[in-house]
Amino acid sequence: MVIRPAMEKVYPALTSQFVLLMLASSITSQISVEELTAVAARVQSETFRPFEAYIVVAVAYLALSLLMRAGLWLFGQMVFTRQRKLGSTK
Amino acid sequence: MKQENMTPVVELKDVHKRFGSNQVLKGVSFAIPKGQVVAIIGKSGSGKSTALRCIDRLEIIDSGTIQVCGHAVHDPAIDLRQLRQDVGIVFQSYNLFPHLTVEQNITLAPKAVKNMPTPQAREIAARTLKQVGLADKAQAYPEQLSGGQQQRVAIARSLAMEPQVMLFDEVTSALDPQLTGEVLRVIEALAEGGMTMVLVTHEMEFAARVADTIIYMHEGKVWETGPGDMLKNPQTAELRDFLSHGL
Amino acid sequence: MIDGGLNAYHLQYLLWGALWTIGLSLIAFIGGGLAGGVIALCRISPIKAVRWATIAWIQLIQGTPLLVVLFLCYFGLSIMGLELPGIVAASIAMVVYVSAYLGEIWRGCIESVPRTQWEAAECLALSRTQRMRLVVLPQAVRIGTPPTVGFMVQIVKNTSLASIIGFIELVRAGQLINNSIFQPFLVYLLIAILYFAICFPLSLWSRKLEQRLQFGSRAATPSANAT
Repeated sequence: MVIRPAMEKVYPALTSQFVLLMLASSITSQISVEELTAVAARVQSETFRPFEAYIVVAVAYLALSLLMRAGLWLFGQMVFTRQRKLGSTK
Repeated sequence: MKQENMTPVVELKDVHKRFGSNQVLKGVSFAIPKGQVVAIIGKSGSGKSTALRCIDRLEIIDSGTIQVCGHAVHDPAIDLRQLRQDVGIVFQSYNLFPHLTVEQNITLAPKAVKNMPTPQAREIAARTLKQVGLADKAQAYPEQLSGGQQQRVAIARSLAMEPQVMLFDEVTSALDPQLTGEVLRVIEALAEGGMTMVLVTHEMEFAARVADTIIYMHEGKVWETGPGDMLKNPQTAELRDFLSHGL
Repeated sequence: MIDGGLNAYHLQYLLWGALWTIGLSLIAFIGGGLAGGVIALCRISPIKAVRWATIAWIQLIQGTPLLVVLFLCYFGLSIMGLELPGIVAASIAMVVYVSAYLGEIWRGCIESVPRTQWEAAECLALSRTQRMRLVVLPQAVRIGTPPTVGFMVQIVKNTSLASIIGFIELVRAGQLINNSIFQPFLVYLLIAILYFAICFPLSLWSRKLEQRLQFGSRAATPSANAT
């Protein structure tokens, strides 16, 4: 089967695309989706402290992207390494 | 860096080198007087390329001493720029700079290191190119040349710095058989010109004919050394084995 | 603008907006390019502290959405008491963002120059700076040109975010027009066409460059994270 080794090769690039997609979702706040950046905007309009609000949100995104990267990497290790250890790429 | 004829140009004493847990050189010693050609032969993994690279401090040894042209190569305080001007090395994969023409490849180092003015550098380039038989290729790019031609340009590039010792690391191993001849002829001409040379090679007949001394290395040690015709009368079983099986 | 339809003045306004988009993209690319070069060199510095600080900075910027970086620059500048026009905040944000990504791309390009080139230059007695300047960087630039041009497309598209902090570029121009003629689909379609007109030639150029520069690319060509 060609798919398995191909997936293994492509996986790292895919994970970085996932993370980028997650970061890109912040745009949807502009069309009134209640996501993280929109929450920051709301907090800012209530407390009049924009800088703090966005710093917190930036840290949250950073943590999310690090967690996502780590999680996806772990997943990759589990799914693909087992195949490699067994030495089979059927 | 002036040497009397008696002091060896290259001298290794009890050199040890380890890569991780792999002990590659286990006490290598030899000396090369000026004007001599030494060929190092041996199986893959015997440490011959490593020993050669240690001479130019491309690998740092764990213990022992290496003296080259009056430099103490094992000393961390060594003046590397001066060492690399005295030692020229040609690699198996030629390593020409692809973004420069042949002439620019050769003039790069003299201009950058010795602050040589361009006309003088170009003269040297023309001279070394003539020496290797490629005088008409000065404006070509490396990708336009055959493997044998690229390797000869690599030799010219090293010669342009006027080294006292030339090291050759299996320079014909990556070439098609019909191209090795042109490179070996250049090396032989250099040897006849009196250049001190160390060759790591698999070309046995060439080594027997051209080298003053042959060193056979086995498992990280100098196993046997002797003049060129040593290969006709191997003294040790390992060398006999090696010669009969090829590599 | 009384008849309620799209007319020549609107189109002219949109084209002005497009011009500002191109302008901000150029500022981002040139400023970000210069900063990115510095970051790439710091990233491979022999000094450990410099290297780790640069890695941390790159991870920070790459782990934050551009929108958030933009807001931070915008509000951060106000807090410091500087009342600067939107274009300055947008430029700073874009330069910071671009420098982190271009720095990583270029670092990858420098590292994909084969180690043997470094060795050959070293054995010709060239100093570290000379090795970088004369041997490695020229080759890295050739390897890096296609992904850099590809990233320019990302820059142009990302400038649309500057509209959120009031900078009048293509998207904002479209919003203003829409507010007066109330034909959002038409307006945004026009905006999309204009973006395509700017970005497509860049993509084509990047692909052509990639095909042309095959000689040194025996090593894998590093591509931008999202080209």
